[in-house]
Amino acid sequence: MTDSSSATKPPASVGELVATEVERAILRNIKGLTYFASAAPAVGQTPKDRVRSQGTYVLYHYRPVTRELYRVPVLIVMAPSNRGYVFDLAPGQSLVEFLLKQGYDVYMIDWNAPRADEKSIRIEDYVLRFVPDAIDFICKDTRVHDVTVLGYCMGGVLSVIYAALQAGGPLKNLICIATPVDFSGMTHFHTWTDRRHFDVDRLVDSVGNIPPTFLVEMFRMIRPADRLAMRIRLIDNLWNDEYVAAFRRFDGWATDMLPLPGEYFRESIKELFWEGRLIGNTLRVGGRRVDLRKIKIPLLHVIADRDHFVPYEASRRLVESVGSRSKLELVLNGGHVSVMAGVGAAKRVWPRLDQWLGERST
Amino acid sequence: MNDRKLQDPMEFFRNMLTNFQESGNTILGQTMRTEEFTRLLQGAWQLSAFSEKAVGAVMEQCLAQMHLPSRAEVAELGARLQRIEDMLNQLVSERFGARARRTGLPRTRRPPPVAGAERPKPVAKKARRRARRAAR
Repeated sequence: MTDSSSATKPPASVGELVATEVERAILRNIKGLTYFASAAPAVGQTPKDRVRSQGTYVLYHYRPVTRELYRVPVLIVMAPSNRGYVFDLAPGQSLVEFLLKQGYDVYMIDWNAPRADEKSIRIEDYVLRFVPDAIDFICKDTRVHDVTVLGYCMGGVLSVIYAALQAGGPLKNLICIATPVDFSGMTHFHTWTDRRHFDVDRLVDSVGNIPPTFLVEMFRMIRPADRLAMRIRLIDNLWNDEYVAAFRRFDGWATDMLPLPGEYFRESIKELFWEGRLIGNTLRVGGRRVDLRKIKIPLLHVIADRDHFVPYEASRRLVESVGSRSKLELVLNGGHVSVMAGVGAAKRVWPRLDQWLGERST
Repeated sequence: MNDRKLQDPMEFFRNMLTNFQESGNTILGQTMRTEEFTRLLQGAWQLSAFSEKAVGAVMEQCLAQMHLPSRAEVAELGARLQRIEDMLNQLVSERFGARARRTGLPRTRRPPPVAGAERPKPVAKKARRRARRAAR
């Protein structure tokens, strides 16, 4: 591998500047070849055990790294459309690793691609079957009777619904990250799934599970110029190993989406996007009404100020809608993913998360 | 820092790229939120879904003619194996997992006392304004 250390140093004079640019140009050519020839960098390397698995549902337990743990374990609930390794991209860029080093006992609900026979999975299955199964397991495994749930994006929505239905249950704290509750605020998605044009029944009935390509393209269309600009930036930075590795990890994750169970998709579109039932406290799951005001446990909601997928308008009403006395909304610098998994998150976000959670985990 | 920016011949190109990205996203984003585009998009989605289904049906017939299993049959077989594997995992985990993983670590950790440390601030006004702007 060619040494790029001198290419990263800021040039002091015009001569050095020219030399740096020439060196970078050479490195771009050399590393451009290795980019295509080499495998993508490894992700999700923090040691863990798969402790539960049932079709699309998988529960992992990360091995503790400290000699003393906080009493309350943490359960991360990933969005059903995405892979959980975004929180464990690389050593030093891993929320999971950070939490372990701070002394938390960390579990994660991650998802396998749903099988064809799992197209009938609904919100009810996630909220009344998978999440409770994980929490029961954790309580038995740790011999602790309460758990902190940390939900990301739609994983946050599932966590919020669970918390509302299990008021007084085994939840100690709820942390939501970039979690939409008012789906009319997701203007792009809301427009594209407008009931006047979008025949969700026809789509689900014809394809069963919603293919990931459909979801990837939908996300890309929100920022249509990003893809080209990011490719050009990648070429510009091909000399920089760290940039290339980070790009490949993020880009690999963003395109590594999962199919969505058809019924879950149908229900989300109809109940959440069209009818706005979650924020209206009229959503019914398993025959029970989801009333956000019933959430009384401490709540932290982390929102990214440059989130184009879940804009502030979609997420801002969560904190005001719950009945918790201890609740905090943190609007922090970042995008939908980078706010929690980006390089800057380690400095800006995780310490504040730890500070909030630490005092509520004893 | 500013001097270095002025010297860097690539900086102009990078700024241009950022501007292109922002204006491209704004203009295309506005177009994509129109009713006409939404209708066009629905047509494309439906077409794609139905063509996928039609191709699948034809392929299934061809494979049946050749006495080969269809994708759905292979997937069903895979699903059955997966269910067996899940059950085995569950049994192994219940039988041995907890015992093997239970580390006996004390759950007595407390947050380190941070004298004079800044407590998390409630929503910063600037950040909120920025978020609203981004949403628009």
